[in-house]
Amino acid sequence: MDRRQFLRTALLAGAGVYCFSGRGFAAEAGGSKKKLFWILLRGGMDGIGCLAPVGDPYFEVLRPDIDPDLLLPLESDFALHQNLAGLAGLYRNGELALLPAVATAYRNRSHFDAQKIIENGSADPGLRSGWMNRCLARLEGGALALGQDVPLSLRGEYDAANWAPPIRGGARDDFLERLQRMYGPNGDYADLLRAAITMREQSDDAMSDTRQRRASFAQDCEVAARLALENGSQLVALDFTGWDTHAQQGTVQGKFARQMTQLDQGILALKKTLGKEWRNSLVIVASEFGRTAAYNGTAGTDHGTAGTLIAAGGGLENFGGRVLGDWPGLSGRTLYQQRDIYPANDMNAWLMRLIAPHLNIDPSWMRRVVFPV
Amino acid sequence: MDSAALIAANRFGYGPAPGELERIRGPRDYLRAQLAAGAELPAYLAAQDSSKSIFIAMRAQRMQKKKGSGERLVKNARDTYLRQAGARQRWAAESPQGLRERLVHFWSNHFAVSIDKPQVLPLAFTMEQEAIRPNITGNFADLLGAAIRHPAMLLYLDNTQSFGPRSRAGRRRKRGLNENLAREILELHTLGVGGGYKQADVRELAKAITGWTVGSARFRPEKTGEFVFAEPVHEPGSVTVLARRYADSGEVQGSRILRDLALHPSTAKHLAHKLAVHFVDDNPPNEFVKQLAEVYLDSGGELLPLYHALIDADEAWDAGGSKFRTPVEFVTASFRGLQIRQGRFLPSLRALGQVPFKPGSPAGWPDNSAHWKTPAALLARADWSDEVADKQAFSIDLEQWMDETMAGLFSDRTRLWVGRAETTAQGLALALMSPEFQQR
Repeated sequence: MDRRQFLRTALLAGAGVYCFSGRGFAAEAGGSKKKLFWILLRGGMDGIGCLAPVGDPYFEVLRPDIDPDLLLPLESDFALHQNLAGLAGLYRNGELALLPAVATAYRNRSHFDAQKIIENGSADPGLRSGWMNRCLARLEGGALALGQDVPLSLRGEYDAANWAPPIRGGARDDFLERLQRMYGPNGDYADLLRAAITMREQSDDAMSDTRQRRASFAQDCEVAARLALENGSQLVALDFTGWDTHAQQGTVQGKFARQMTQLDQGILALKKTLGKEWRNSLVIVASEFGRTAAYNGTAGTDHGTAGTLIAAGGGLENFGGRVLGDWPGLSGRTLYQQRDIYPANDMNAWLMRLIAPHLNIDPSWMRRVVFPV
Repeated sequence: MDSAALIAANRFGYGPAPGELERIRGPRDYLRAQLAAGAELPAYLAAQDSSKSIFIAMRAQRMQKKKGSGERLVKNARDTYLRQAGARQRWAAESPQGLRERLVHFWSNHFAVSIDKPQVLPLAFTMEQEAIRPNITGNFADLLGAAIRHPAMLLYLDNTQSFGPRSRAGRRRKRGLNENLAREILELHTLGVGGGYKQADVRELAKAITGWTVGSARFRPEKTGEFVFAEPVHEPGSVTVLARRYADSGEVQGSRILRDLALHPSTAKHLAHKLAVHFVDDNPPNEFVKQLAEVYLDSGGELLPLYHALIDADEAWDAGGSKFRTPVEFVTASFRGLQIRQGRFLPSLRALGQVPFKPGSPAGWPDNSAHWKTPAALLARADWSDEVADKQAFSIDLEQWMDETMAGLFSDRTRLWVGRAETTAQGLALALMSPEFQQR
C-alpha cells in the first residue's frame, strides 16, 4: 500500500483530521531513520502501581490490596503490574527498561504546570517551545502528533504534522464523571445531566453494535506507527489520559488495571505495526508526576512527585532488560514530604541518556538546547 | 473585576472577548456607546451577495434549462447560505459591538423566516443584512416596513401568492387572498397574540397588502429581486383594521396600517415584553415591562430610547445570569472568549440544535430557558465542550483565561474542579460546562 492509499484508507476509516502542513512530508518517506515515540500519560500515573518495588519492606504496608505473588517478577526487587504481560515479554528480550522514582524539576502538584514542564523540557512553565521540537534542529525527519492539536512538546520553531482520531460516542466518561461531581448531588444541572447520561447508557445498551466508542489507545498507537512509517517522521507524540485516580483507583482490578491493559496493548501495537523498524525505534512513556505512596481515604491516590518511566524498543542500547536509576525507598523518612515517592532520578538527565545515543545527537548540545535546566 | 462589567458583556453581548472586561469602565456607558457609534461591518459580511444579485443569478441559471441545472441551483443556494451563515456567526464572535449583534439577532428572530422553505435558503441572511441591520436603532415602524417588504418575508409567508379577489389579476386568474403574512404581522410582529385583533382584521390587512410582491421575469423584470407594488394584484377599495378605515391608496394603504400598528399600545407591550424576556429574565416583572412600553410609546416608537431604558433599569443589573444560553449564544460566547477564529459554527450549531435561520416557524426560536435547558441539550453541550476543549487546550493559558478574560465569572466550586482536572483540555471543558458559563 503506498502512502496516499494508506492515508485515504485511514481517513475514510476514521474521518479524522489530517494536517499536511507538517515537516514530516518534506522528508523522504519510509526509510530506516531512527524514531522516537513519546507517550505522555496525562493525569499523573501511579508509578508504584505500575512498577511495584516488591523488595521494599514498606510496599505491602502501603499497598495492602496488591498480592506480590500475582505480579510479573523482574530480575531485581521489582515486579510489573499483572496486566503488563506484553511488557514483561519485552523486558526478557532486552527491549524494555524501567526507571522508578523519576521526576522533573517541578515540585508543586498542578497538572497543568507539571505537564508544561515535562513537555517543554525546562524548569519554567512559561517556556513556549517543546523539547522535542528543539530536537528537530538536529534531525532530518519531521515530527507527528496524534491528537486534535500539536502538544507543547512538539510546538516551537518547526512545524509538526498532526492527525486527530475521530471523536465518536460523545464526551469521555472520565469528563462526564467529573462534570457530575462538579455539579454536585443536587440542583437542576445535576438532575439534567444524570437524566441524560442514564438515557445515553440505555441507548448504548440497545445499539451497542452500531455505536462506535472513542478509539482505544492501542488504535492510536497503530495509527501513529503507520503514519510515521509512511511519512518518515522521526519524532512522534501521543497522549494517553485517564491517570488521575483520586478515588477508587482499582489498582488490581478496576480502572487503573484497565489502563495498564491498554498501555500494554498500545506498546505491543507499536511493535507489531513498526515491524522491522521496531529495532530503529525508541518508545518512552512518562507522566507529569507520580502519586502519593499510600492510598487516600477514598481508595485512590493524590498528586505526588516522582513516578515511573518506561522505555521500550530496539533502540535501547545497553539499557534493555534493566531497572534503571536509584531507588530511594518507601519508609516514612525517605518519602518526599512524608507522602510522595522521592525524586531520586532526574527526568531530563535520563531522557538525554536514553535519547541522545539513539538519535545520534551530541549530548552536550542537547543539554544546552533541548533540556536547559 | 466589576461584576457589572460581566453583566454588560454576558447579558447584553456575546460574552467577553479577551481584554474586553478591562475596557469596560462604566458598564452602562459602554453599552450606550455601542449604540451611539456607527455600526461596524467587516468586509466578509459586507461583501456577501445582495438579495437582488442572488435573484438575478438564480434567474440566469433557471433560463439555462440545461441538464442538471436544477440540482446546480439547489447546490448554489445551499453554498450561498453556508457562506452567509458562517460569516454571520463569525462576526457575532468577533464584533466589538456585542450589543449590536445581539439586537440584530433579536430582531431577526422577531421577524423570523425559516430556511426549511427552499426559496428562503439563500435569502434569509440577506433580509437580516438589508432590512434588519440598518434599522435596529431607528424607529420600529421603519424596521417593520423594511422587514415586511423584504423578498424573503414576502416569499416565506406567501404574500407573493396573495391576490385581491376583486383585483384585475385575481378575477382573471380566479385567485384569492392568502392571509399568512397579515396574520403573522398582527400576531407575531406587532400586536401579539392577545393584542386585540379579530379574524376580520387579519382579512382586511391581507387585502391592504395584496400586490406587495417581488419583481420577477414575469412582472417588472427590471426590478427582479426587489420589492414591487403590483397594482393589478391589489384589492381595490377601502379596508378597516382595528376599527380604523383606510382608503384605497395603493401601496400606501398597507404602509399606513403598518405605521399605526407600530404605535399601538399592544405592540408596545408586546415588544417591551419580548425585549425584557430576552435580555433580563424569562418572567420579567409586569411593572418593568409597563415602564418599557411607556418609553416606547412616549418616543413615538423610537427604539434607541427603549434600549436606553433597558440599560438604565436596575432589573437588568441584578446579579447572576438567570437565562440559560441558547446554543447560538453558548457557541458564540465560547468562540469569542477563546478567540477561535473561523470556528466551526455551523456543524456546532447543528449538533446543538439551533441551525441559523432555521427556527422552523415564523414565531422564531423560543426565548425561554425551559425550552433549551434539557437533559439531551446539556449532554450535547458536554460532548461539544469535550471536543472543542481538546482542540484549544494547547493554545490557552487556562488560569489566565479564567482570571482575566472571564474575570469574576467562575464560582469557587467551578475553579476547584477545573483546578483538579487531569488536563488543560478537561479543565477547559469543565469551565465551559459550568452553570456560570451556561447562563447569562
